Amino acid sequence: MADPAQNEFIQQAIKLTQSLRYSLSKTLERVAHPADESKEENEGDYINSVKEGLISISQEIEDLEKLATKLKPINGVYALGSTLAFGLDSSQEKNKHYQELNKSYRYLQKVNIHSNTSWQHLQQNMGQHRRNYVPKKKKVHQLATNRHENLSVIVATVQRNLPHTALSATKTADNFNVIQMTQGKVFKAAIALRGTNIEWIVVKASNEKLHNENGELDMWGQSKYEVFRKITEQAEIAANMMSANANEIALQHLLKWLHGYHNIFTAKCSKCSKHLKQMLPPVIREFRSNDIFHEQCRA
Amino acid sequence: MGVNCVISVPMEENKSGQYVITKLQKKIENLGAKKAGHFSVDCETYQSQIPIEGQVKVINNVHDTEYPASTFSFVENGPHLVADNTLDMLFAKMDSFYAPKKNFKIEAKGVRYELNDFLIKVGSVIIGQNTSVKGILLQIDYTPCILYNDSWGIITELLHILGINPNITNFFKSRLEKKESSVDYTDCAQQYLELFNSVRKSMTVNQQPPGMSSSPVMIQGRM
Repeated sequence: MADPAQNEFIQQAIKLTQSLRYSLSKTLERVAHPADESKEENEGDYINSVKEGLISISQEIEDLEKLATKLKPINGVYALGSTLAFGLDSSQEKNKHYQELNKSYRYLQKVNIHSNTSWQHLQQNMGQHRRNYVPKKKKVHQLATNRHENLSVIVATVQRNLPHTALSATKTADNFNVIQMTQGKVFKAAIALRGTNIEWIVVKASNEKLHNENGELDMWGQSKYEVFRKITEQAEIAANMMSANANEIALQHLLKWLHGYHNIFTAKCSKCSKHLKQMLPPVIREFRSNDIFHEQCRA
Repeated sequence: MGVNCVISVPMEENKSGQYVITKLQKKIENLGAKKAGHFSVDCETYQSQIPIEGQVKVINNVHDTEYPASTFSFVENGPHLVADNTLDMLFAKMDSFYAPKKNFKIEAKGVRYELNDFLIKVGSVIIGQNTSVKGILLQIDYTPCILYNDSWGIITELLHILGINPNITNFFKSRLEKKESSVDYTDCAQQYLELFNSVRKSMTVNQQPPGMSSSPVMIQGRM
């Protein structure tokens, strides 16, 4: 360890270096900004102040040099508490920090990806709610209170265009809005909604029941017929497609598209011009063009 | 229950009825159909012992394994009713008024197939105690559809795939002529009854001396 006198010298040297740095930076700043707008001064004063600065710098340098001669070089490691550990190489094998850091990094990255994905999904599903709250205040109130009435308006609008289809809007015990569609003696469908977002959709044959023994709407039961299970599948795909921008017009469009299945047993495939393929009628109605295809003919 | 269409499958010359049935069954199985048990439809004929309004009345009682607890009762050229099968016991007690025609019981039985939404039944027709095949009936049900007009295209296409001429019954024709005509429980029994009658008719024609024409629909087969 260094002796106390040596320590004092070091402290003095540090102080001197600090004051040298201070005066140097002050002088350089004075040189860099000769015209200080706040103070009125002439050229002579400016030169004098710079000179004074330079003189104090040279004085301090001299003092520091004198002090430096008194300092002895430090041999070996100068221990200053825990700074001792600074220069030491940490071997991977001795501590597990590296692996643990790696793990937590990967974990955090996954969390980031998952939260991004869920955010996107939530944004899609909450889209309607957000729309309700963002626009004018009056509209928010109207939509929140009269959602069921709105649905009846949508149903009535679609009903005008499809006179041979029976449409009705009801509310279930578990607070779902449900649109029921009966297409003559061909099929029945029930669409469960939250706002204008489609939660669930089911299509059954006209000789099947949409309600259970207790008279409640049985939304979760599948049709016993393959053809209607396929149509339900298609309707779910269509509902997912429109969930990105669920609004009243999209819902109307979906109802009209579903009405396209009124000729499920009579229409032939646009591609192969036949009724049956793998013993099923053409179960695909294109969403935009309403073209009719078998599943196998579409590709 | 969907639209059902029962047609008679023509026999092939110099081939046994069983041969035609096996060939047809193979075709159905090749389409991917799965066997789903057996079926039988029979018809018992009763004749009034005392003339009613100067006429001998005939009643046909049809039983179908698809509806095992019911009897479909048809008065010839008259109304029909669907009752519990205890009706048969009632008829047994009424034999002094309505007596069963002897050796007149006709039955179609065979294998039942399920093919996706289709129900296909291939049955051989036998009369009375005689076990020889008198005809072959094919029943196609398209279960998800209850409208005759709607399902007709699909049924004909399946018949075409099976290589069978869609030689439909008069009953089915009358249903197709009506718009939006939907299926009823008795429809299947009515079609079987019509085809059973035509088989009986062809039998009596065949029993007549040579020179008389036989029915174009049914050709008698040999076992």
